[in-house]
Amino acid sequence: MFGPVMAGERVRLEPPRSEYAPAYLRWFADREVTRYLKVRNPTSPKKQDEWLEQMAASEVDVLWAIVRATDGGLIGNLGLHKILWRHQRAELGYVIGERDQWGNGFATEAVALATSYAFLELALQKVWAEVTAPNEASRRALERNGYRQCAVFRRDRYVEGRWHDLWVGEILRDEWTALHPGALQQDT
Amino acid sequence: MFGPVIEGARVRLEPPRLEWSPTYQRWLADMEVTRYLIQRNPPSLRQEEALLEKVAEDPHRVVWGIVLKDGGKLIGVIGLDKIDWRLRDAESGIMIGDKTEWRHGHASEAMRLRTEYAFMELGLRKIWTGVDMPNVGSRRALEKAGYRQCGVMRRHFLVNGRWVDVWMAEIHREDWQRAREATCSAP
Repeated sequence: MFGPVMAGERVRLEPPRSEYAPAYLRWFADREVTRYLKVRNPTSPKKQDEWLEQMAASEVDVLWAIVRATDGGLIGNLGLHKILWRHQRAELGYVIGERDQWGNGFATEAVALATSYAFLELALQKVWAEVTAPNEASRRALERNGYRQCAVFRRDRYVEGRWHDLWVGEILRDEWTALHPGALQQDT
Repeated sequence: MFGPVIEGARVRLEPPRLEWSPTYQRWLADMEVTRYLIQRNPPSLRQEEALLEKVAEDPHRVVWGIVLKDGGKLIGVIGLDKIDWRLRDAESGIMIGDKTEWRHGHASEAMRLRTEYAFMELGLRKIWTGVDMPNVGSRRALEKAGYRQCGVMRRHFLVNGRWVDVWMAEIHREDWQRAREATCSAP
């Protein structure tokens, strides 16, 4: 699935457009952008396009583009992935691909929007995320939204000749509800 | 999906088998069996096999065969259709194709086994169904299994040239759990 429009104060989540494909290719060709990501290589325009269609057709992924609220400019990508409907959980992943937009708290707001979607619209019990340990900005975006460390996998990622630990954080439905009183009128 | 084996007292739910196709075809060719079903015509064997393959990989359906524990005879099929994973509900589907096994309580037992699976394994919240008003057997089985009326659709289905009302019913997880706890704690 593609995610619906979700408006925040400074960013908006939107369904991705196929004309974004060149920007994605540029981001994934930039090793500074991908340093702490799982995917570290660009693909072909055709494959990139097919991937978007795959996401649109998938019942276990929700994909959004992150755009600036002011001018609608594309700055990143975010998704709820590997949704296990039976176990009511999903993995959150994101990238701010435009490097000059780093440090503005955009990821924090995007994570907030996607997390509320997961609990309110998808009625999940848990959202979790992986962060390569030195990627403090990314971890902070999660922690500011109530995600808590649940595991650290040691020497899990090999990046530029060095081993890094992998930080895993999660937020449970109850925890999110406690942080957002009144968001759920009636819960089951 | 195919359902896993679930043992009841008198019936067992089992994953469907390809070799049952001729039996299904025979049942669906019998207008007495299909009187209150949406499907009122028999499939070809190839169609039936293709359908089974489709069901096997469909995440929005679960299908079982119903067999008698005593002897293992196939008497019907049961399933959950239209599973909506976001809303966590599904529609009930059932057919006792073997007419000699009607009115023995097999359907309600199969439904109870399915309910426990739907709520405890799939995490669903409710199962809903619609039954043609004149289909007293199916309605009684559902009521015995804990389903309650939630509405009536007027002149909703065609049976032998007459438009009949459809009884809409559902079973909710909370109600089911409460009823179960009451039974278990009874002396």
